[in-house]
Amino acid sequence: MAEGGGAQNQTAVAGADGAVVLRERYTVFPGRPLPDLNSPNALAYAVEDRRGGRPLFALALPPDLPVRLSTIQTMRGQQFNSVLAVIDYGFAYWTPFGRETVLVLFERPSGGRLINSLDETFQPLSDPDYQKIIVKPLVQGVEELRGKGIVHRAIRPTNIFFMDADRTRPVIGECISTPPGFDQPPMYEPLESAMALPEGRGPGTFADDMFSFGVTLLHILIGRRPGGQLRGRELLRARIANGSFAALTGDARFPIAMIEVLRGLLIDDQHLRWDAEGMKLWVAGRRLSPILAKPEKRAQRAFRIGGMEVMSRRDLALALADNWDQAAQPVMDGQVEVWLRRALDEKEAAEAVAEQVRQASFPGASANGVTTDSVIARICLRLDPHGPIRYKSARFLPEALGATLAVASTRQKDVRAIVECILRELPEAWFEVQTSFDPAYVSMLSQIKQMRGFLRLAQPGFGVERCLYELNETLPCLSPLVADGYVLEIEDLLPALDNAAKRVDAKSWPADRHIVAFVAARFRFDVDKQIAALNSPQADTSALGLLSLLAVLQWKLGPEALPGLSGWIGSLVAPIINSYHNRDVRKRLEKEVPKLVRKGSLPDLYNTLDDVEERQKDLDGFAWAKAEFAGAEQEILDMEADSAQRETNAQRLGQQSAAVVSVMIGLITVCVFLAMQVW
Amino acid sequence: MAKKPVAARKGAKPAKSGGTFTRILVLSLAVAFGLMFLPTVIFLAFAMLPTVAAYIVDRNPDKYEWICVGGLNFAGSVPFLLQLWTGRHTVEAAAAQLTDVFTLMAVYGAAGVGWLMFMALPPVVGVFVQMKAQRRVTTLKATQQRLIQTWGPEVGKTKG
Repeated sequence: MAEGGGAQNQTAVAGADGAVVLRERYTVFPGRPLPDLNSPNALAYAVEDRRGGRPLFALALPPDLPVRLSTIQTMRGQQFNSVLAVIDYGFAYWTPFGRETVLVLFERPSGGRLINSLDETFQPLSDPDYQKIIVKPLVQGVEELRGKGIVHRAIRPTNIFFMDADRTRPVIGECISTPPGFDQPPMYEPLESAMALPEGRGPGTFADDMFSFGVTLLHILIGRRPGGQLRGRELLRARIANGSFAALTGDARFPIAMIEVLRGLLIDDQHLRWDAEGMKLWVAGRRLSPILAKPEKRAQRAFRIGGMEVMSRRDLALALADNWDQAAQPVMDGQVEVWLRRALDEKEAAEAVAEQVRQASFPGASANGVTTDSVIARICLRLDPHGPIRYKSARFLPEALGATLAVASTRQKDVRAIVECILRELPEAWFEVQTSFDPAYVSMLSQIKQMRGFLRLAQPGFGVERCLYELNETLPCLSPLVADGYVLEIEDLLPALDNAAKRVDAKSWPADRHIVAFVAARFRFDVDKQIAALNSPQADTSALGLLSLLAVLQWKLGPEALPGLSGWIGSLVAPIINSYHNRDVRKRLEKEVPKLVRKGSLPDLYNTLDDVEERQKDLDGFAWAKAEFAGAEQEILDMEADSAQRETNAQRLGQQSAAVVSVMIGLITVCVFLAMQVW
Repeated sequence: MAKKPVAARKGAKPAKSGGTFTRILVLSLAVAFGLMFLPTVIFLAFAMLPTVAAYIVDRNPDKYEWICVGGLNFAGSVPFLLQLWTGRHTVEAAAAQLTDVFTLMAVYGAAGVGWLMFMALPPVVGVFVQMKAQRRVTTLKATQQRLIQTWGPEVGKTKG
């Protein structure tokens, strides 16, 4: 939302024509799109800088994807020679989207895009031009990115621009409009992430960028799409079988000098892949010894599944995942194990597969989370340890869990498969099969364990929504209540709800699952008690939990007055007022609430409605009143039940009285007559 | 174990003989007293006949009826008893008193008043007690109503 970057003072001011002004300087025009500069998931618009200077353009980022905010902040204002420079960014209500989003300003490339489509064929540059116009500047771009610690993950020919009209100054385009690797065609990704879904590729490393860079260099060098006629799965399988270098270069002819560098960049083992330093040395003229890729071990006979013939472990993992519904039978029947043992001579892998199948055969295995699907997923990991986690329709690397979940949630994909992955401990299985240890794994494992705990709780504040916000620090709140805003920071939530109060039904609940999860994940204070109360089945406790949660937010984060939200909450506090037994207290509170609502202070409203002393007094008084009522009731019942006894008692009392009166008269008479005789 | 009943029987025998002795003694004294105060005894024996009748007909275990009748019966007899004591204390004088219609009317009339009082007073007391109970119930129901107004109908619920 506009306040999204409130802390950074990046609020945009909207003009009458929908144009927004960022930092009182840059005017972005929604009515002037620049389709030539669009990114696959972000639209480009014209920008005017009030202070003149360089021509600019803006990208309106998709509001339903996690934004690479830290990368934007790192790149903002930095000087680059061969990377498209981020001038500034801001949050604004964007008319074409009908909601707020992030606008990122870039220096506008005058020479346009290198190529507009990956399928475009063009005349290759001469070797000197290629070296001068393409290789040297782009190597410099890669070095600049490396120097700033930025992993780009969007290096491809369609993302190379020329800053000058003569098309002699190329720059690497933007990388911040989508999660890392999201816009990359699989061909431009290393094998591990190429096999994952676009959202499941993760932040990656510089080695991944170097691979993309290598494919980009090859593409520009040969003037057409690498890989020859192979596309999609065929190309991927060829890359697995022959190595990416061989598969992508195919029968293309290019200078021998380029073989070394392309072999170094396109090697599938990321530890052997050339880095920016190696490229720099190569550009400087130093020739390195050629790297030879170790080919994937091939089987003596093919394994058939889904009409495919696979010849290697990695290929089999890919085939099993692609033919998930048909994978159960050969896996559970032991065909995979036999093939691994006999055709591929992979005894260790065969043992691991057999062990997985054996565990699934134990009675009660299903109850322990071991299902056929999880066995297939674990076998895929055994077969291809560096590949993504594959489970039903999900394909992702563990470090991409957040983005995978976010995209699945916002773009109506299969969230359940991802959730099952976590619940069936597949990320742990991925870490188990890794041959090298990375210290980052420890914190990732700990976080995944925490997510599993959240997923096991179904109440608001937990579940998938909680995982979404815990795993994606830069995902805006996806609640429909604040859908037209861009609530990225917890500070922005209450103002957004205050705005929402103007248009929503006052009887609706101002805290849906997304809002509660967003607060739980982003608010640094402990609100577990408030959330527990909010989830109570009792209406008064739940309403009090809601009020308490929002009141704590306002108390800690402001703003001072929230009249809209207070009014909204004010219409929902009836159960809290009715939780007091004393009718006089209820009447008093009913009179006080409108005054507090006008004041806009949720903490005051909460303190008034949940006064500890008042509540204790009410409880004590009610207990006393109940006892008094019950005592009176009992006495009435006793009196009604003892009517006959009371009559009997009255009869006896009357007889006693008569007897006493009679005896008294007798005694008085005796005394009187005796006295008369004496005197 | 067998000795105890024997001892108990032994202990019971002197008590029985003691009781008989007391009765004989009391009876002897009463006869002596009766012979000494024969005119008074004769007068009271006739004058207190309503009381004796009341004692006989009273089925109530508390036996308040004869006390009520007896009290006023005795009150009616006292003036004439004093006349007997302060005048000639002879059997003839006692007979004269008993044959006097006025004396009998006074003595038995007083007993009748006692009887009437015994019959009339219990219903009066019953009405009074009933009224008092109804008033108490009304007060309690008003209290309950006041509690409901202040605390709501749930104050009358036994649970929750």
